[in-house]
Amino acid sequence: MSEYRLYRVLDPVTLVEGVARVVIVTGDRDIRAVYQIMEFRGFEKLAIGRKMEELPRIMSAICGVCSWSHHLASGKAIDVVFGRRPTPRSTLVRKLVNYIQVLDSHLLHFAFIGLPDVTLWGEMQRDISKLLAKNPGLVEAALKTRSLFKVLEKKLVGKIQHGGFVVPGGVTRGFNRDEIAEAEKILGEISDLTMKLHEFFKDRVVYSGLLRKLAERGEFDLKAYNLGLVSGGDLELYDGALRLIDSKGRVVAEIADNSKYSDLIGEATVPWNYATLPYYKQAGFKLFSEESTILVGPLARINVSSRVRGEKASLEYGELVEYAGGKPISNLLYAHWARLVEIIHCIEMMREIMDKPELYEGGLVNITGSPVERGIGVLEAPRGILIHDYTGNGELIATSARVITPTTINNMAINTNLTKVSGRLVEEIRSKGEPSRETIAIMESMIRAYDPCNSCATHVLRINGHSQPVSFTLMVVSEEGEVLWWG
Amino acid sequence: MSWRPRIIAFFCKWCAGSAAETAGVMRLRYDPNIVPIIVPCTGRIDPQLVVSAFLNGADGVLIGGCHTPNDCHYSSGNFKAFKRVYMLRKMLAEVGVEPERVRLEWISATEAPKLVRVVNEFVEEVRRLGPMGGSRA
Amino acid sequence: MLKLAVIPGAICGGCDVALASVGEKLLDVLKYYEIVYWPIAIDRKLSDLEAVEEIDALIYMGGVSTSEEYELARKLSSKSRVKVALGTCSVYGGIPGLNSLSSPLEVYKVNMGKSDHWIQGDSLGLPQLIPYMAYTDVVEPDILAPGCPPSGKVLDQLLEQLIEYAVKGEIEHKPILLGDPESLCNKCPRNPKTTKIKMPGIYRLHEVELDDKKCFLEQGILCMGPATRNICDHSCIKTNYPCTGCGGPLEWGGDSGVSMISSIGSILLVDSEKSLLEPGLTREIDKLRDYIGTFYRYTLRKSMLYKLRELKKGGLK
Ligand code: SF4
Ligand code: SF4
Ligand code: SF4
Ligand code: FES
Repeated sequence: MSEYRLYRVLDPVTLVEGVARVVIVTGDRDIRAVYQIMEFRGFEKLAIGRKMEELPRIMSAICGVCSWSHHLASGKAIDVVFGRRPTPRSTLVRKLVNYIQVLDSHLLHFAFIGLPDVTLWGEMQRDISKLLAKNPGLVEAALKTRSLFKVLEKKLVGKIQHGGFVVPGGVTRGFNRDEIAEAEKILGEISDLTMKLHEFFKDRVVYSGLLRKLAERGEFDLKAYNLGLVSGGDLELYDGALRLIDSKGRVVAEIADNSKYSDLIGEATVPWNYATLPYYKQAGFKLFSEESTILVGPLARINVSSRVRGEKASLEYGELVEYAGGKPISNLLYAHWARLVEIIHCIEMMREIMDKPELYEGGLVNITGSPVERGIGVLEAPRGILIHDYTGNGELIATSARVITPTTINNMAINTNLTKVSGRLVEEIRSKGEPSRETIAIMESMIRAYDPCNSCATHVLRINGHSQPVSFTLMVVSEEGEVLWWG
Repeated sequence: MSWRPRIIAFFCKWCAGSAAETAGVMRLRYDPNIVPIIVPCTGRIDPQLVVSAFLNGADGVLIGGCHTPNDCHYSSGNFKAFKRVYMLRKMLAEVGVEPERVRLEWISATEAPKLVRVVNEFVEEVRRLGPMGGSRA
Repeated sequence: MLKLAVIPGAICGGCDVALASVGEKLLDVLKYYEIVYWPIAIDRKLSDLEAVEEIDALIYMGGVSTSEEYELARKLSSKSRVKVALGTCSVYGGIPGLNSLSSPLEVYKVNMGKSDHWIQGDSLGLPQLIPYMAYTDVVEPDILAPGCPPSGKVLDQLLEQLIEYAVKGEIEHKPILLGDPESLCNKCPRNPKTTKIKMPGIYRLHEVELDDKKCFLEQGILCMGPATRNICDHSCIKTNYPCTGCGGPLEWGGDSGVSMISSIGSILLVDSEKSLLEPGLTREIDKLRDYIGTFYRYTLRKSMLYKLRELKKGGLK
C-alpha cells in the first residue's frame, strides 16, 4: 500500500444528525477527502430472531428523525411477508403519515439549515442564530412550525417518535373527522408559515441570482445516476416504480417490482467507514467515481420524475427546472429548492387525502393472506430511497434483515463530491498553513445540502451532533498526529 | 474435581416439603448439596427468586409442589408455577443457559422415595452440566 | 449560572429531538443554567466543553458503542455534579442492547455481510467498537429518565428536578427514577378494574383484529403494561398499539422479563387450567415466541438474564 497522510477535518460534522467527520487522505498519486460515519448499532443483527409483525416498531429506532419512514418501510416489507394487501383506508392513513414525515423533516432542514446556509453565504457562521439576528420574524415562523408539528404528530400518531400503528395488512387505528378537522387547521397554519419562508427564499436566493451564481461553482456538481420512485412518471413518495436515470437524464432502468432493487444497488464495505458505500451495480464499484455513484433524495426525485402533482407544487417544479436550465439538475445546491417543491407538494397531497371519504370508512386491517419467505419494502424517506428487506422462516420469525437508508446510498455521493475540494484544501494547508474560509464553507455547504442523517446510515454508523444549525469543527492533523490547524 | 453442585430447592410446605420431612424421618438419604427452602405454595415462587438464586451462586434450582390438577392447597398455585417455570426455562435457553438447571416436580406428602429419587437425579444432572459460572473445572 | 451539558452518545436522534421539543419549560431551566454544550441546539465544540472545569448537570443520551464514546462519557461524568441518563438507551441500553448477546465483531459481520464488494486497507482512525453498554454501565447517574424517547411528562419531571437542584443545591434520594411509581395497568383506560385481567390464550399481533377498547392481555395480545413503569400515560395504548415496554421496569433494579412471565403465569387461561392440564397449557405457551425481543426489547443490557448469561460465560463474579 502506498504511503499516505491523514488529516481529520470537520470533526465532528455538525448540523447533521449523528456522528461523522471528514478525513483527508493524501497519498503519492491521490488526494481524497473521505466522509467518515462513526457509530454502529447493528440493526441488521438485532432484527434476527424477532417476530416479523413487530419489526416496524423495532426497526423504527434506527432513526428518531425519520422514525415514521422506517416504521412504514418496515410495514410495507411485512405486508409482503404476510401476503396481505393493506386495506384502502389503511393505505391512506399510512400515506398521510408519510407526507407528515417528509414535510416535517424537510421543513426542519429547509428553515434551520438550508436557509441560513445559503442566504448567509460568505459568512463563516451560517446558522439559525445568525439568521435570527438578521430576520427575527422569519425564525419565529420557523420555530412556530416546530411546535405545530409536535401537536400534529401527537394527535395523529400518539408519540412524536417511535410509536406504533402499522401491522401487516393495515394499521391499528384510523382517524375520525374531528381529529382530521383539527389536523387540517394546524396544517393550514403550517402552510401559512411556510409561505413566509418560501417568499424569503425566492427573494433572497432565487430572484437575486445568488443561487445561479453559486451554482456556477463546479464543486457542487455531481454527474451521477439519480434514483427515485415514480408513479406513472409522477413524483411519488410512498409506492411506485424505482426509476434510475443517468447523468444525461436518460432512463436506464425502471422497475415496478421493487424487490429487484439489488439489480440496481450494490454495497461496498470499506475499512474506514461504518456505513457501506452503495453504488450502481451495473457500472461496478469505482471508489469515488461519478460513474458508479447513485444520488437519492429531493433533487434526485425531481430529476427522475416527469411531473409533480399539486397545483402549486407543479408550478414551483416548473420554475425550478427552468431556472436550473433543464434536467437533470446536477448541482447539489438546488437540493434546497427541490425540498421546497416537495414541501408544497406534501401540503397539497395531505389536503387531498384529508378530503377523501375513504380515509374515514372501511376496514383498518386485512388479516388474510398467505405468508411468503421474503418481503421488501421501499419508499421515499425525506432523504431518499429507503429499503427494508427481510427474510423469515415458516414461523414468521426473522432470519435475516437488510436495511439500506438514503444517507447510506448518498455516502458515496458525498464522498465523491468531497473529492472535488480536497486537493485544494490540502494545497491551502501546505502553502498558507490553514484552509481558506471559502474552502471550508464549500465543504460545509456541500455536506449540508445532502441533509445527511447519519443515525440512519448509522443503523450501521453514527455521526455526532444533530440536524441543527451549528458550524463545523475543523481539524487538520499531521501524519505525526500534531494538530496543524483547527477552527 | 472437588466441585460440588450447589442446588436450591423450593418445596411447598404441604406436599414436597412434607415429603422431605418424611424422608428425614425415614432416614432416606439424599444428596447433601441441596439447600431446601420451604415455601407456602409453589404459586408464590416468583421467577425472580429463581434467577436470583443463580446469580447468588446456585448451579441448579429444583421446585417441588403438589400434584395437579387438585392437590394444591390454594387450588391452582401449582399451575401458576408450571406456567412460570415453563416460560422461564424457554427464556434461559434464549440466553444460552441450560433450561435443565431448573426442574419442577409434583411430589405429594406420601412420596418421600420419589423425592429422594428426583433430588438425586437432579444433582447428577447438574453435576453433568457443570458449574453455572465460567470454568468447568 | 450553573452549567448544563447535553451529550449525544449512540442515539437514533429521537431523544435529542424530544428534548429539543419541550418548549417553554426549557426556558425556565435556562433561568438557572447556561447550556455549555448541546450539538443540536448550540454552536459549541467539544474542545469548549473540555475546557469547562466543572459541569453542574450533565445529560447523557443514548448508549455507548465505541471507544470514543466510552472515553467521553467517563471523562465528562467525572467532572459533573449531577448526572442524568436520558432515554431508554442511556438508562437500560434500549433496542440496540438486543445485540448485547453477541460480540461487536459478530454484529459487524452480519451488518456488512450483505456487501457485494469488499475493500481492504487502513481504517483511517475509525473509532473502535466495544461491547455495547448503557450509560448506566459506565457511571451511576443521579437521575434516570426512561422512555424511547422520554415522554413530555418525564421531560417535565426532569426539568423540575434540575430546577430544584439549582435552588437547593442537592438531590435527595438518589438515584431518582422518573415517571410515576406504578405500573401502566394501574391507571390504564382499558383496565377492567372491577374484575381481574384474564388472558384467553396467546395470539401474535398479526393474528387478530385489535379491539380498541379492551385490555390487550384480555385479547390474548402481549402488552407489557403490568411490568412497565408509567412514564407516558399510555401513549401507545391510546393509538391501539400494545405497550412494548419502553419505560422499563417498575423500579430501578427491577426486571421487566421475569415480572412479565410472573404476571402471565397468574392470568393465562386461569379458568381452564384444570381441564387443559400441563399439555394444554404447554401448547398455548409454545405460541409465545422470542422472549428476549418481547420482554427485554429495551432492557436486555441491564436485565438479570444478561447478568446470568455473563455469569455463564465466566465474566461475572
Ligand atoms: S431511547 Fe429511543 S429515542 Fe432515545 S436514542 Fe434510544 S432509540 Fe432513540
Ligand atoms: S395490560 Fe396493557 S391494556 Fe391491559 S390494562 Fe395493562 S396497560 Fe392496559
Ligand atoms: S405505552 Fe409502553 S411502549 Fe408505549 S411509550 Fe408507554 S411505556 Fe413506552
Ligand atoms: S400448596 Fe403445594 S403447590 Fe400450592
